[in-house]
Amino acid sequence: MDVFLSYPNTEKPLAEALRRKLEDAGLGVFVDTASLAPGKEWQRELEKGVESAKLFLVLIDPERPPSRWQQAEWQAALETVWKDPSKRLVPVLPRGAEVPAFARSASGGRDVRALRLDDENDLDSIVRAAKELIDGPRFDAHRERTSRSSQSLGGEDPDTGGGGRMPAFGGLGSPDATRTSDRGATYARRDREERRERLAEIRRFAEELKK
Amino acid sequence: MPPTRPRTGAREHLGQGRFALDPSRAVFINCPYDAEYQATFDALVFSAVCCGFTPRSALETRTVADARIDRIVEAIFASKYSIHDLSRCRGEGSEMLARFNMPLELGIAMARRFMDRKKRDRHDWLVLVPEGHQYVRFVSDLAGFDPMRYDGTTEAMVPKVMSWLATRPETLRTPTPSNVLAALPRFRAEKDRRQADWRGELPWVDLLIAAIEISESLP
Repeated sequence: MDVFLSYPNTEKPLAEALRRKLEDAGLGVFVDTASLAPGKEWQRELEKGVESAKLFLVLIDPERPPSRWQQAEWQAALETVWKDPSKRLVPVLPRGAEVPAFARSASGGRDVRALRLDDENDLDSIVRAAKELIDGPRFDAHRERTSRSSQSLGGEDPDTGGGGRMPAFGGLGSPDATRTSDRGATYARRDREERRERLAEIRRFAEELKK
Repeated sequence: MPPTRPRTGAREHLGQGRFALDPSRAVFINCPYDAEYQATFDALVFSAVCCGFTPRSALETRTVADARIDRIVEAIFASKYSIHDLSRCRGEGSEMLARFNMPLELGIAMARRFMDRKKRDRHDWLVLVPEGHQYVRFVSDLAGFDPMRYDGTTEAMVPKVMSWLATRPETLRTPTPSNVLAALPRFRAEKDRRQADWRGELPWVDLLIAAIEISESLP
């Protein structure tokens, strides 16, 4: 299996269209854990699906929180990518969706990638990006390098210096490399601030316990 | 039934009044507290803090005179999330007695979820069981709430707990489990240092502070 495609029910038509395109391009796609036959041990089936996948494409609903099924898929995908960093987790962002925190956690904030999906015309670009991510040197050499089709948001990777590379696929905001880099830096800055605030909140609670 | 009025002069409890903590960022930890489980317990607490959640426990107010079960219920009701390790729910000792504290606390968490059923922000839990554990069978009857299996090691448990917390809506961008596992010895060393200062009776506060201080250094 090449691609594990996770999607919310609300985006089913888009996900179906993407699945067809990926399969037409010769990629094997695991999709829709929720449709597993009743009585099947879904956790085992899900594990099989994620273990065999090389790339996780996660379609995000910008308007609604994820269902339990989708959370379970994200969880399994995250664990797999953490275990084997040669696999990639890439969010697909329709209608201006933000890169969700869990997708930035997949690489610990390093070399975060995302694919924008504004309309069906973007599907071909996503398929090209998926093929490059799967076939690229990263999967042969376990190096975090060189996909030109997906959008790198930079993040905190010391190797990239926090800057993104010029995407062949028009991604978030603008295909302009400077703005892409800005977006990656914005996420990294926001992540650091949120983390600092959250730890301060836990510390305040601890201080209250002391009194 | 008349609406419940606040009790005048009632003592504030953790999670209430000035002790208020956003419940959506709190996770109740339900696990054994003995020496055999210590390494896993440390990893659970540290992982929660690294993911930006405040761990709550029956241990946090152990000197308060309230009944232990009252404190547990209050902590669970002040936490949107809970993690339950049922791995020690088995016969132990010469009399083969099983510990029922963990299933009891899971039951309280389930009651809290049931009471939340009309709310958008329902209580959510993670149940951990070892691979091949017999409880997989009965807990899997809760469709959609299947327990997470792990082999009993800290190395296997940390990614399970972190991936669960990292996919909740209130999460932050977390470090990777490798980062957390690599920092665990430093957390344990800091905890041991503080434990020695307290002659073995480490307050929950100090455990939290140790976890915060070490997690601050993570990427």
